[in-house]
Amino acid sequence: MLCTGSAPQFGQSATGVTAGSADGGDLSEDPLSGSVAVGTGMAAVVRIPVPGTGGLFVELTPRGWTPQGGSTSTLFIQDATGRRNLRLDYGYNVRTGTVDYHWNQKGTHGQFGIPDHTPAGSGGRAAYQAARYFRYAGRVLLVLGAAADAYSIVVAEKRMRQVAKVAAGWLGAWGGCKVVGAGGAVGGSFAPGLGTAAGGVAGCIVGGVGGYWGASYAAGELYDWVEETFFTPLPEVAGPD
Amino acid sequence: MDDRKNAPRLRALVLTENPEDPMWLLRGVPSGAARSGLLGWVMTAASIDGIAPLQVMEIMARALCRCAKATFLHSLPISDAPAPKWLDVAHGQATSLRPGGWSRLFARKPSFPLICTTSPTTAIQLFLTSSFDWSQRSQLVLLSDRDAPPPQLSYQLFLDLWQGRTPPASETLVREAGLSGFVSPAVDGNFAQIVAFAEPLWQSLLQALVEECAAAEIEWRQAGEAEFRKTRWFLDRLPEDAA
Repeated sequence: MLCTGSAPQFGQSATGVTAGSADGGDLSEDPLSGSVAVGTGMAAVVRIPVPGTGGLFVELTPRGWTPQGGSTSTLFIQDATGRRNLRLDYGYNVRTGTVDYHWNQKGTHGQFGIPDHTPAGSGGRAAYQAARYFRYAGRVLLVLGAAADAYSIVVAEKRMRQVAKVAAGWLGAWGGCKVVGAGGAVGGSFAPGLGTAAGGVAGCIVGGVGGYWGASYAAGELYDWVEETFFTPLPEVAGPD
Repeated sequence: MDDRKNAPRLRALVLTENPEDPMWLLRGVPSGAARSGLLGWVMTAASIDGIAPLQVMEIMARALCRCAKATFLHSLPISDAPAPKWLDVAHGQATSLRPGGWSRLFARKPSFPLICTTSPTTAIQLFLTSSFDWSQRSQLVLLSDRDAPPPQLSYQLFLDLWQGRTPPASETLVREAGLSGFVSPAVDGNFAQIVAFAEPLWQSLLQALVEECAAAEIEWRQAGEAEFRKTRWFLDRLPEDAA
């Protein structure tokens, strides 16, 4: 009895955005895969939990609705309703009487010890600008990652295998971003506010890329295992005399 | 109890007329608006939380409801009716302006739940609406004749006003809807932009603010924009500022 399944091919390492396999092999051989782009871009859209804060998340957009140009903040640590929030803002500060980078907050003083209108200094300025651009750059990365993944599916010899790897990769990126991001937020909270957000986003990126790669790799393995296990018998033919 | 005793207290309301500096982040005003001003509040100290002070909420809510019907975005758990219908609710009427299905799904346009009231107790909610946060300039309070029915609003008109857009036809549309002015949060919700489309409303709003301040034993003053800009909004500094 012969087996029609193919043995999995293991690569040496994933080499970033362009790791992928046209024949549905593992990431190291993929000509195009969105692992790094998707894993990194996740940080721009995922709500990164901050454990121990009663349901606060790190995000780059406000909760609720704001008109265009409504919120002048770019970095938010907020709950699901936006009722409690700590946000990094740029504009006129009633406390200093000048236009500066500062924190605005409602209901989070107990967690971060930062009063409303506290100037954020040069670190705040850098974080504000980084968040401002990453909010859009991250979304662009997600689109590029999606395009790369779509291409990898189109050119794959085993399309279903590649679909499974891509789907698992996106799920893994999302989960990894949440889990490692939460750890990063806790770790960064030695500097409450800025450290929390920076740790959360950095953790999310690491977790997102690792989660994508790990889940995609595992999905490929699983697919191959299933394919090997559930094989199709070929008709018996008479052997040579 | 102690928190309230130690909370910063309101000392004065300050108004400047026709503010122009872009740093205030004012909403666009339809052409032909009669009068506009920016209201700020002087406190004994900076507060920990970025919420409009309770005394400011009370004074503004009472003054607005004395002069006009206030229609604003809310997050109250009440029933409403799709516009143009208004459903009677406690202390007012409620409606909801909804975008077309296509816009809602693909353009991420919000639905606008509105309540129209002359009750100051209800009007205070305009500062506390979480989905349309005052401190992030998402709230918009439309003013209309106190004795007339609620304004007849189209989704597009409200969206334009909310976005601060002022298309050429907006002045006509605003008047056709029965609007006589609006109040909107300015930068960080630390100021309130007040716009009246007719002189009588402007005068009665100022009069109401002056009287409410007097009743609350709060100083009222008007200042030019340059002086307004230099106003010290917190009389005491926080300990970390002094350090």
